[in-house]
Amino acid sequence: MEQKIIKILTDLRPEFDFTKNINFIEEGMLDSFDIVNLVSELDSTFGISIDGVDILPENFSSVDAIKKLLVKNGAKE
Amino acid sequence: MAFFEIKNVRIIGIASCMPKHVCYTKDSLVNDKYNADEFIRSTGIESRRLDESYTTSDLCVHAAEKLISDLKWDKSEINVLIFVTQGPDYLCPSTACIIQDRLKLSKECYASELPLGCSGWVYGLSYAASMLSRGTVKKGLLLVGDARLFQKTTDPLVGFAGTATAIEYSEGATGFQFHFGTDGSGYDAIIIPDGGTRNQVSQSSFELEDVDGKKMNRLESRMNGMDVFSFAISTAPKSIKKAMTYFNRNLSDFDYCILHQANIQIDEIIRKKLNLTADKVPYSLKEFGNTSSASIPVTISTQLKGKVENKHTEFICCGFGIGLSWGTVMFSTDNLFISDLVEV
Repeated sequence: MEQKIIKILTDLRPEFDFTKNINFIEEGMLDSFDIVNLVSELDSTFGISIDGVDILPENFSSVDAIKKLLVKNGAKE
Repeated sequence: MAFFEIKNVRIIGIASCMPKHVCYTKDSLVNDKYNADEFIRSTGIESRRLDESYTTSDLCVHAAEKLISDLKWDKSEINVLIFVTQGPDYLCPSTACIIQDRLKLSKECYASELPLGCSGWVYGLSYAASMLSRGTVKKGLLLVGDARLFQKTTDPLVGFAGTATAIEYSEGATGFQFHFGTDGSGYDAIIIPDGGTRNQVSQSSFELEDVDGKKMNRLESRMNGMDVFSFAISTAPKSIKKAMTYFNRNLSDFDYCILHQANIQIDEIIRKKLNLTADKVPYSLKEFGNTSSASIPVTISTQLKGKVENKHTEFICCGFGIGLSWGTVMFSTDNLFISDLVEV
């Protein structure tokens, strides 16, 4: 799952290294515009529908946070 | 529980007016981070109509004149005028009063204005329908639109449009079924901070501030994209489902689901949450951008022209956005009249 997440992030913003252990939001790697695209791509890749109430910056701050978000919304590890 | 059913009233025609001038996304650098191709892929917006020499009321008046003429309505019989916009001609008086005169409607006319954005057509419909449902007045016009760039140099989403919806009393018509909602705690999710009475225009209103990496003054609209996105994809499907549950309807009852044209990714997430097939959810975003409160009638008039005029059609429409405010309406039309697009 981590590799799929990193690939989606890298396709979205190839100029950044999403394997680094940094906060994607605080570092300006992802903004709200990116999150809209990211959620759409995650929904389609993992066959889920992420709940709007989970669209919070902290849920997109790292690969691990995104993984937890996906599992919470029904994605299989 | 903001559910309403208003009977004995129906929509008989819709017209839209836009500036002739086309602004193509591919010709503009959206911002430092996104190129035009990325922006088109993300928003679905390839072009918009923009011309700041027109106000919202100008476009709505053109649309109304066209619709009145096409329907052969007698202006003296139009006794209800509802104008919905966030871009009035003046801070005061109400632009609805000015439009009554410009259209040469009767002075025996109820004219009122609603300062709503993306939910505005649905709210305006409820006002007009309420006025007409008793049958004491027979014909009404709902004029809805926005023609204002909320960020002078960087706004890549907004398209200008003015629309007119003709509504009339019709004994026995099934009318409209509504669900409405409001969450004012999100008032600042989309906001122009200065210019109202809370923060009147001052010298500091024109000073540039850093907002999410963009320089803008306090008379320009700023948006918390994450909050708006979260709100849109959670609230719109819920409102549609609530309306159907309350009024015992199913999505299969409807020929079309018209969503506020926010952004293709947001609207597609909503469509998929509702398990709707793409043919039931038309978009006008590609050609005309986010036309704010006008986006639902613009989508009907530009995307369904030729498909609904000579038949019975069932609609479910949902507007959602600034306020935060949202509304869903279900209605049917018989031989809906759609005027040719007015371009000025």
